[in-house]
Amino acid sequence: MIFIHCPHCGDRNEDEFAYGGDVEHRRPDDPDAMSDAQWCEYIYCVPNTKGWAKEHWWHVRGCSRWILVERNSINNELRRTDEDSDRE
Amino acid sequence: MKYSALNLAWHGLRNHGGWPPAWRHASPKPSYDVIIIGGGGHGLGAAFYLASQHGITNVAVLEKGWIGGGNTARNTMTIRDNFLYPDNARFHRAAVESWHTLSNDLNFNIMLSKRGMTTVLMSDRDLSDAKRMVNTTSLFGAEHRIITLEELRKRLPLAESPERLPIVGGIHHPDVVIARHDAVAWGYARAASKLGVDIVENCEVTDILCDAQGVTGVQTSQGKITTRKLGMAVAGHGKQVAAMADVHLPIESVPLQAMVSTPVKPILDNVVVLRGFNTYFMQSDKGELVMGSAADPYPSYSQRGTPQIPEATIAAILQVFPVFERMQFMRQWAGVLDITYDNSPIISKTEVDGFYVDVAGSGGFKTTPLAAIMHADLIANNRPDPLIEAYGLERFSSGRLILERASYGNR
Ligand SMILES: [Zn+2]
Repeated sequence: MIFIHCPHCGDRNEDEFAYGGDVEHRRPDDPDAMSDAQWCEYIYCVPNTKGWAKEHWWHVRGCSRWILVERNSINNELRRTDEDSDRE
Repeated sequence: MKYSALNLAWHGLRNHGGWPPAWRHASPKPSYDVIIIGGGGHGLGAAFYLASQHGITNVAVLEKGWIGGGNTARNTMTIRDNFLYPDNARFHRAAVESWHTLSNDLNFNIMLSKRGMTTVLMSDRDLSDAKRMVNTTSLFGAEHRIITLEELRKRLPLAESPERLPIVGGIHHPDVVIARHDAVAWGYARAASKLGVDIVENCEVTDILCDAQGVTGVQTSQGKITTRKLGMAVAGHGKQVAAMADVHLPIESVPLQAMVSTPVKPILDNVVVLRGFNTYFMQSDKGELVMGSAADPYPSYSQRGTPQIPEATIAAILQVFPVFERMQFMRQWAGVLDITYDNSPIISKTEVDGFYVDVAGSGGFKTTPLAAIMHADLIANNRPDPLIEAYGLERFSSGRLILERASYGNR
């Protein structure tokens, strides 16, 4: 990995970024409607995908924006998406 | 064959040509009383204790690759018990003790070496944190004490106080030992095989078969094998394997890196921890400096890890031990840890009857014998020993987590 492409700053060293989780791991829209088991599954069972996944990354030591990156967790190969994440 | 000094001398005279294989290479039978998935220290150990303590000898250990080739080969061999929560402290204290008789129990030299661990404290914050830690761990019987700068200099004469972060004191932890990690797998394999356990290498489990009563068997790369009791002791892919039985384990896979220098003559006896840098290192019996630090900052299955970690680890060591500046770097690697939300292990029944798991040791080498004893006991008696009650899967739904910060899998 080493370099992550930020759509605003270009290729930057990975230690400028913080990992923010898999986009599939979304906070449920209506937590009150969920059973304890479902809530527990959301909190503790992260997707932990082996292979390609789309993820939130925070360019915390750069432009401070949240971006989306596709990463292969087997070898940390990256694909740029040029998309911003919906996080703030 | 029993290993002994006499045997060694006899085979030495005959140029070591006549040693028999240490364990049988078995092909799977169609059915077993218990199957263990994972031929590392934890899995082979569980099979050994099933046979030796519970009289269950119709057991197979299924290993995808070769035995001891996973995280048993990828750890840094250090066995410590500085944990801060009662359940963890009790368990790890007993785990350290479980190592001491292992060479005798297995008739196999695991090269246990009592090194002691010295933690270097480099700020007032480190020091007050250390006092809290020492006071807490001594409540649980761990022999841990704060040492003065003078004593630290005596224990670590090579350490130099960096100007920007002067050393203010240390912690000494005499009970810390190291063991030859490969020997642990080989010793368990040999002892288990002798009691009738089948060790099946190159046998990947591709599916876990269940009916309404629970586990019925496994589908493997060497065919279908039936069993009513299945134990899982895998690292790095615990989530994927358990998912074959529709059991969702609350774990995330994170690389923990280690690296070694080329071997040199003995120069360092203690295991050294640089508290403020989250870094530790020691010299193995082979003479290599073995170095490690915190887990990678993002989850991954890469057995290489991110380059930031070795860079920071080496920079930290050189700040305090400039004497190692010209050491040659030999190897670097990562072991993929299964990490739970509370950094504590899972040794538990699951919602599938007959399916048991021993996973997420967050650096589980140090607990190998005790975790294996407990896993075997759980499988044999279908109820957890009081020592592992806190490690049940139900803690995630009940909220009774053990939020341990003293493991290297820190979040
Ligand atoms: Zn940016």
